[in-house]
Amino acid sequence: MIKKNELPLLEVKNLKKYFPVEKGFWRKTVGYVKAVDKVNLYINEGETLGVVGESGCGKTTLGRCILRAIEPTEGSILFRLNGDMIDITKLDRESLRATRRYTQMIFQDPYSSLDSRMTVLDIVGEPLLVNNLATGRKMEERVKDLVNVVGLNVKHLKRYPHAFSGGQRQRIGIARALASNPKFIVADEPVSALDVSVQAQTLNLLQDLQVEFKLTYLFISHDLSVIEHISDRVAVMYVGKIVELAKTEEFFLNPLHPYSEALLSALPKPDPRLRMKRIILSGEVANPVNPPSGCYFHPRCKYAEEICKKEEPEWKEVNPEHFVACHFAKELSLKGVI
Amino acid sequence: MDFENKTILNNKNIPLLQVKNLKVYFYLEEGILKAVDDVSFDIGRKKVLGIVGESGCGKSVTAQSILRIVPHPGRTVGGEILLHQNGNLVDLAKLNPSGRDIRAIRGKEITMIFQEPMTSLSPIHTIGNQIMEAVLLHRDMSQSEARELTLEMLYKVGISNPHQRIDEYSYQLSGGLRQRAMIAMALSCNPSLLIADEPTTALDVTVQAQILELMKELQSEFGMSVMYITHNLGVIAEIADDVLVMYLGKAVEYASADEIFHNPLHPYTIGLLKSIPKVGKEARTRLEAIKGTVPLPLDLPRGCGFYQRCREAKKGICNVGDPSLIEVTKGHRVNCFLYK
Amino acid sequence: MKNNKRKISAEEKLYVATQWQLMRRKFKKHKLAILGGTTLVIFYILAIFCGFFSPQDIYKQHSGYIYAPPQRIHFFDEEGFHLRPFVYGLERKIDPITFRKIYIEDKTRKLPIYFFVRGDKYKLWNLYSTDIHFFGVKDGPIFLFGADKLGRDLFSRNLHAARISLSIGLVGVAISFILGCIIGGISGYFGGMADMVTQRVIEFLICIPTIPLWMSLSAALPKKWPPTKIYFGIVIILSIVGWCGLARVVRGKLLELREEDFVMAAKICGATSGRIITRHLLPAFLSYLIVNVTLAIPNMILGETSLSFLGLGMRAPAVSWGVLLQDAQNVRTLALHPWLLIPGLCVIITILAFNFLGDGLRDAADPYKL
Repeated sequence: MIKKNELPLLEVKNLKKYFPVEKGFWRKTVGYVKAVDKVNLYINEGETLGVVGESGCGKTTLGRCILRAIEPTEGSILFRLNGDMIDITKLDRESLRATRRYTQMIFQDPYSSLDSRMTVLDIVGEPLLVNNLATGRKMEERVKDLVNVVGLNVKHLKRYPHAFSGGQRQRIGIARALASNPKFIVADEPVSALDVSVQAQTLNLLQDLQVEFKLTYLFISHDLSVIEHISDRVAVMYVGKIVELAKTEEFFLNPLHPYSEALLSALPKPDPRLRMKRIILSGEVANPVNPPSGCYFHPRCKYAEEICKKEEPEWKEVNPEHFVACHFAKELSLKGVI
Repeated sequence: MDFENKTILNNKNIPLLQVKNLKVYFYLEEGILKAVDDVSFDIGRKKVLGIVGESGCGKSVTAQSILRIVPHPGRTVGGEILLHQNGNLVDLAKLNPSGRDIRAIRGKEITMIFQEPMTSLSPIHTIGNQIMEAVLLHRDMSQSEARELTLEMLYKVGISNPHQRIDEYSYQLSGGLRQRAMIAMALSCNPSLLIADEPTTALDVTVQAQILELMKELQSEFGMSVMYITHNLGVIAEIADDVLVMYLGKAVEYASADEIFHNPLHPYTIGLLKSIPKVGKEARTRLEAIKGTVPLPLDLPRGCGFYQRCREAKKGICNVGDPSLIEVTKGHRVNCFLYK
Repeated sequence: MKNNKRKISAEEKLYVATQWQLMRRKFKKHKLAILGGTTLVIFYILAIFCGFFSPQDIYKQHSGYIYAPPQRIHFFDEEGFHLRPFVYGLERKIDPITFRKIYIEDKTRKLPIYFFVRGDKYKLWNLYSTDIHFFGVKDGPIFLFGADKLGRDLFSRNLHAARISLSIGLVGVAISFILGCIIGGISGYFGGMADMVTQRVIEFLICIPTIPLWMSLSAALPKKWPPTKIYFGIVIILSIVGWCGLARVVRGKLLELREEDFVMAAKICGATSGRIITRHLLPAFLSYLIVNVTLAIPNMILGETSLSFLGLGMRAPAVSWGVLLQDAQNVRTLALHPWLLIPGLCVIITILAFNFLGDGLRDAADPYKL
């Protein structure tokens, strides 16, 4: 799918999002939560980049910053539109609103992401309406098509979200995201709130839609098995930073960062015959307000040495298209999934 | 299956807890919700029973009914919950839910840990005080002995510097530590059965791995039985000896973990296993999803509850009669007309 | 089969029900709220048409009936049942021991009650001059709630008092509502410095004990003002504190909703701030506002009553429940003429009714929560 010598659809350069920590009566800023810190990545057209990480690692913030749903602190987000690369961070309000139709989002919570006071028709039709793409009968026709595509009954357009189950609600959310014919969709944990059997339906639907509408996904999840299933490439986040970025197969067979290795090992496998000694990480995810020195992962890393406490590792391409931030990426031989 | 004879009771082979034909119904305005409908299972001594199912399958209500803490308007309307307690046999289903007998068992013989440790720990008491309270209530100990035991338990569940943590409040601890504190509290009275209701669902993968490892270690150290409730098949495979698969309040398959994962018989179990993404070689193949969604177990039509979603469904059979749990091979029970 | 079809269409109706339809469904299940609502509707109708419903002029002094007790309505006499209710005339006597005036029913004078009778002239809403009353007796006055120290009919006075007391709640809340929405909206939507300043101001205002504040403010109202001016003066005084609570509710709800995913989704779709506010935020918190407004009205009514009771609010000749209660200030009159406390009872019933109604509305306000 990835063609060489072609501009990527989206390129993120040195993206930062710092949330100020305020304290006291006058709300003085006493520090920053570095939710997203110096993130670099690119996504080619038609591919799925999976972003995996534990809670609080900044993956959701990253997704929202890329869409400029929240304002990034620093960095640039280049998006290819009609052959030109435009910097989303530099757009003014009106031109940002005009480009919004090309980038969309699917949310984690199928309950809070739909306005319970609007009908399916209004919800799915909203992107059409606000972008002046269709109104009235034309809008209804288009909404019917979309609802059909995501596998819902077109007779239910007049229903309100409370009439639907979690899985069906998620389909409504997907239909809304597709309405304005976007090129790029950020899917933020779209299946984690769903039941196991419904999860599979939704994943299949997302894959079918990707082929049908030539979509590009940034797929955020905490579940490595889902990530492996859907992504072409995987990015691992830890405390606001991307620590490893590689093609899916390469990543699962040959991870280069100790955190990736631990994540892979911690994944429970649905087979009692595969019960094995896991790598149990000590401690928990570092506090992003007050992260450790050097490499953020060093207090939990069993390979850590002096240098890891002092120096922040460099983000480098160790193998072709395999990026990692670890001092010992070349020396360590880590275990992937068999 | 008659254990009335007292001499058999002392036999080591008999299970710790036997649930027979348990029925828990919720009487709602909209109708009767059969949360648990005719479910039977055993929990062997020092064994881990995994109960797996999707939302609304009745797995949590099953656990609550064992402790007799089913919330209103739910009622245990039928069945027996037999606890074999050093030679005595108690039917928990017959006890008064707020009586003295069940309170002596709850928190001592049978303890429970929950999905969200933040809400199950009191925010206004220190961790230590809460554990000590449980100890003092159920064990004949002095204040200082109880504190000693609490420190020891905190240490055993892998909380570093327990001397400091014992006087901290739950909000000062991270999710993983809170769940460890809950486990320490649950184990402090040396229970014979620990019910774990999705204890790792709210936790990160790496922390989940820590907790699972801890539970396995503690189970062998304390020699208790565990009833482990989750929707995550991976976790079940990791920890359970026997597995009960539930769907819409019914037990659809009940067998050893190895059988469930390598020789599943019920179409629902097969469907569940096929619908989870695999890691490794099989990855990236298309998932075989189960069609449809889980219906509300309210005023269900006659017949098998899985009929609408089942690939193997036979009209005229599956939607007419109610299947029952039958033993197909030794120790492998299925609730399906395919195996009759 | 037919049954099944009916059930399905009932379900479909629920699925396409709007927020307000769902709220009505949920509200109807709340029996106490229905009771409260009905009581209030009756009270307000009585208050709006107070001239029509009161049998006598409220300023007319019936010198023969000073401190007359409430008359009982009878359906039976020695001859048996009568469809038309009647009262017995009152006869004044002097108690030979205490030398107090006492009233006893004069069984020989039967006064039947007629509906739509002609009586004292009055002007309905100061517009239409008429003398038709809803009920009354043709021969002399009728005192259902007794009479006061000047022999004025307390039933009529109570109805007229309700007009002021009940409307002051509504007008006061309307003013606080507008203030609360604007200030709370600014505070919640823009955040930052504006938010901090308004929050500190609200905290300061809430800290001031209300009764002394009201007292000092209303003491500043010129004594010469006519009752209508005083009325609006009191409303404004009450609203000064009233808006704070509403502003907080608006701000809190706005902050909460701003973080909801569906608002984020609308933003990502390219919706303008105006559309987000009017299509998504406003409908979502309108129901909560209604609840809070309902629960704020009782405070206003209580505020007016207490001010007037203390002699700092409405002043005679205007009548409000508080003004009427001034007569019940000393224990001796109370012990002898307990019916002077009826306005207090009216206040209690009104407040309870508002609280029941508010309770039901609160439960119905979020019909999507199970």
